[in-house]
Order: sequence, then structure tokens, then C-alpha cells
Amino acid sequence: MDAAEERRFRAFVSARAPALMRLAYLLTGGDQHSAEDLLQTALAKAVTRWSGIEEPEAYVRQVMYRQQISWWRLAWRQRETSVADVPERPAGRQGADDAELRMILRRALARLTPRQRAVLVLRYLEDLPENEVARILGCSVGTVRSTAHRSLARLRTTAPELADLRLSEVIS
Amino acid sequence: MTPRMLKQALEEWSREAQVPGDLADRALRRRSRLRLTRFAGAVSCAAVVAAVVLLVPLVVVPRLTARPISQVGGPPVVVPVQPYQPSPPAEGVLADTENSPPKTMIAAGRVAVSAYVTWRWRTDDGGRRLLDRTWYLLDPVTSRYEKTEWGWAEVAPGLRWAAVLEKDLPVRRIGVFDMETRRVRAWVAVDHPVGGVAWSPDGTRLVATAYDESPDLDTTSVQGRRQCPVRVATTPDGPPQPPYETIDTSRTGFYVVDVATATAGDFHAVDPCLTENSNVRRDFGWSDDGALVREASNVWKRPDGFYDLAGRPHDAPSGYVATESKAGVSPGGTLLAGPDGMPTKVTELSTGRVVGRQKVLQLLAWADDRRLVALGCAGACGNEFHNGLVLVSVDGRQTVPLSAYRKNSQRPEEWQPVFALR
Repeated sequence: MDAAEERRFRAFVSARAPALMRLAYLLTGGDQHSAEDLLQTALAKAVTRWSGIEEPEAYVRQVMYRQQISWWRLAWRQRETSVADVPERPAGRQGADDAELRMILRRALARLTPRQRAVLVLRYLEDLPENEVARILGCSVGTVRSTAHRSLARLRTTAPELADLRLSEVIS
Repeated sequence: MTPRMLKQALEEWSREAQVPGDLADRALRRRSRLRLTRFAGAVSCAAVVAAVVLLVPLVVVPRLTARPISQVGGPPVVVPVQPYQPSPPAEGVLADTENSPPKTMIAAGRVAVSAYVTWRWRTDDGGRRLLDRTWYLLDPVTSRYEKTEWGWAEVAPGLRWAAVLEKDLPVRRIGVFDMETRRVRAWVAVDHPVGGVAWSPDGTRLVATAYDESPDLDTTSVQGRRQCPVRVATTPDGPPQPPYETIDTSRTGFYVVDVATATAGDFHAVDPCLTENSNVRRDFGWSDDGALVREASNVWKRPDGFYDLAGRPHDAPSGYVATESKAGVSPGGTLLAGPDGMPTKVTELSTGRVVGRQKVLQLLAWADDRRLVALGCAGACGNEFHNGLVLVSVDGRQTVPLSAYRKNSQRPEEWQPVFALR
């Protein structure tokens, strides 16, 4: 990387760091340290092949998605916490407003596996179709579909307040 | 619940991310290490073992050595702890009267059962008897209690963080446990081993009590007791006093831990002979305003002991009230919960006038200014140890069960509730 390329790299990071950091933060389940580590690893990979990358942001995003899932595969200790039974609906939650529900939803999202969270972020935050999600994650469309299904089911299991969350509503 | 809400929740959550200012520098610095990784991956099969040796530290270590989050003009923050903000007490009551120990969250007003603990005696190889605890921590996401392997746990006000210690107390590190993700966010190393921790009222600091032996040791199972000089002068006419009196604690002092930066300050030695207390475990806590360290009195009606944050004895804070119950003074500061023993009473703090009597055994915590979480006994109260948690009004007219009744609360393996503010 020559001086001109380094300047271009620095300008890219300066302009896109907030958006990339927000994505990293979601993928790591709201863990600031892990998010920083994920993003800086992806950026370091981008540096090594900077001159050949046509769309740096798309490249860095894809690296983060795949890296996070592969780290999760390695880190056996960080696999999802199993919940044996479906929790009953706690009393006093019936009147939860939208803001409270979003907070509950966030906590439930934090409990998903990185792969489950990645699929939901790609499908429902970035609004990508299933075939595009499959391409980014390097898996089949069927896997994307079943992962999305399991993720939403798990959200409902983890947070009884989200019992009204229907797959059809979300996927439509 | 709609896709829009899912999207909003994700967007809202992502905005909490903090953007480090040196990301480009970090990536450029890491470039050389990645090059080495790729080189290692390209070596021949004959060198696979060597390549693995190279790859493991290169790939895994950066993930484990997360850098502290930068904070302009202050020390590096590693735990995003926020000062506790009391919210208006919820009217709703969460009870589990079906299961003993409880499975689902118990809470009323501002207070929740943040954990419960069971205990049993264990004899070690040296013949010493030690009290072993098993901690069950609330999972605020599922609203259920979850068995843990911690040796000690203390949930912060707000139920977002807990301080945890590993088994075989005392130990040389303190964990800051994220109650939502169920992971330790930071470890705080200490030179003097600690056996207990307590959160400051604002949930940003810990006082960690140091011991040089287990604080859960049955001292009757060991030889050689510690001794303190007798402080009461022998009078010429009185009976002769022994030159020393024995104490049972191995407590040495305390640390004040700043949770946001995960740092323990200096160790402060405190002479255990300064206060009269026969307990082995003599953990420090906090004054109500968080300005002083407090040692709870072990003697009926004797005021608590106070120390400044450097461990020097200090006068009690102004307005200090020597409480006679675990519940103490009401949130509004006007009422005082009375001592254990049925019926209990609540008095007006300023006048001492009794404002209500309750048919319960102990007043444990104020749910709000009108209601308390208490220890109530089953049926006609034929056995005081056949008891459980209830919510009782100050006037004693309303009692709502919060938990199932334990058959014998004194028995080993029986659960004991631990409270925290919500």
C-alpha cells in the first residue's frame, strides 16, 4: 500500500466507521469490545488487498458477517444458552408500550447466536432478499430461511412479551 | 409486533455503539500480523504443527485482548455502567408461589429477588468445616433463576450487572458479570484475596472485603483463635479480665473498585478489633449516600461502624438511623421498619409513633412507601421456620404471598432470598 492508497483507506474509514461500527455492534450482540475487534480485523483484511477491492464497504461488511460466524463456530463457550422450558408470561407486562417492547426485543436479540443475529440483521435491517443474504453468508437459501425461522421462534421463547410476534408478519 | 418494530429495535440498539477514533491506525498496525498468518497457512503439510502454533496466537489472541473503549479526558472505560436511576415503583407484583425454590422472578415495587442461595457444610482434607453456597442468579431476559458456579454474587441496583467471585473464597479477582448476556465483562485483579463484594448505592463502585482465610470457615473446627487486646479496663473491684479476647474473622481490609474502568484502588487495611463482632464473615458495605464504608453492627441496638474510603474510622453520617430490621428506613425517609418478631411494627421516624403492625416474622425490604417485602409464616404460624416471602402493607391489612413456604428455612439446602433494587 503506497501513500496515496493509505490516504484513500483512511478517508474511507473516517467516512464509514460509524455505519460499520453500528453493524459490528449488532453482530456481536451489543458488545463494544468485540465489535471493535471484529471491525478492526475486517479493516485489516481490507488493507492487505486494498488496491484490488472495488467496493470497500461491501467487502468489509461481508468479512464481518463471515468472520463473526466463524469466530462463533470456534468459540464453543459462546454458543447460545439453552432455555429448557418456554417461560411463562410474567405478570404486569400486558401494558408494555412500543419503546418497552423494543427494549425487550433488544435483550432477546442479544441472546441469539451470531449466525441467527446476522440473518436477522441482513433480512430485516438491511432489507436484503434471501438469495442475497445467502450469498453474503456463503450458505444456501434454505439455510437462510430455516435460520430466520428459528431465530424468530427463539425471540418469542426468550421474551414471552414477544409472543405476538408472528413469522408471517415479519417475513411478509 | 411488526417487521418495522424489529428494524427499529435493531437501529436503536446499533446507535449505542461508540466509534473509536483510531480504527484506521489499528487496522494498519494489524496488517503485518495478518500477512504472517497467511504465510503460516501456506506452509507444507509437514509443517502443520508449526503452522498451528503460529495461527493460534495470531487468530485468537486479538479477540481475547479487547482494547478498552476510549473516553476523552478520562480513564479507559471497559464496562458501560451507568449510575442507578430509581424509577417510580411498579404497582405490579411478580410472584412464584408454586415452586420452592422459586423458578420465576419474584418482585414487588422497587425491589426484586435478584438471586437466591442455598448452603451446606463441607469438610476439607484438613478437617476444617466450611460453608459452601450455591448461587442462583436471576436472568432478567427470561425472568427465571439460573444455577451458577460462582462462590459469591451480588447484583447491582438496576439488575443489569453483578459482581461475582469464583469458588474457594477468598479469591484474587472480581468479575463484573453482564446479567443480560450472561458473560463476565471484565475481571478486576487484586493482590489481597477477597471474599465478599457490595455495590455502592449508585451501582458504579464496589467495596470488596479482603480476608486471608475463608470467610465461611467454621472456626470451631480449627485450632488457634485470633486475639484482640481487651479494650475494657479492668477495675480494681471487678473480676479479673483476660489480657486478650478472641475473634473469629480473618478479615484484613478492603478495596474500592471503580466498575467502569474495572480497576481496584489501593488496599486499605482495617483492624478487625476496632469493632466488637464475633462473626467470621464481616463484609463491608456502604453508607446510604455512598460516601463512607460501613460495617454492619452485630450487637443489638449498637450503631454500625463507619470508615472513610481510605479505611480510617469515621463518624456516622449526619441523619444516620440505627435500624433494627433489614428493611430499615422507607424510601421516602419518613417511616422506620421495626425489629424481627411477630407482630412486627412500623413507626414514624420523627416521632416514634407506631403507624402499623404486621402479622409477619421479619420486615426485609421496602417495596414502596406503603408496602414491604416480609418473611411471613405459613398457616397459623405454628412453626416460625415454615415461612416464605410475602408483600405486606404498612397497616398490616393486606398480605400477598410472593413465594412458596419453605418447610424449614434453617435446614441446609433450603433457599435464602437476596434482594436488589430494580
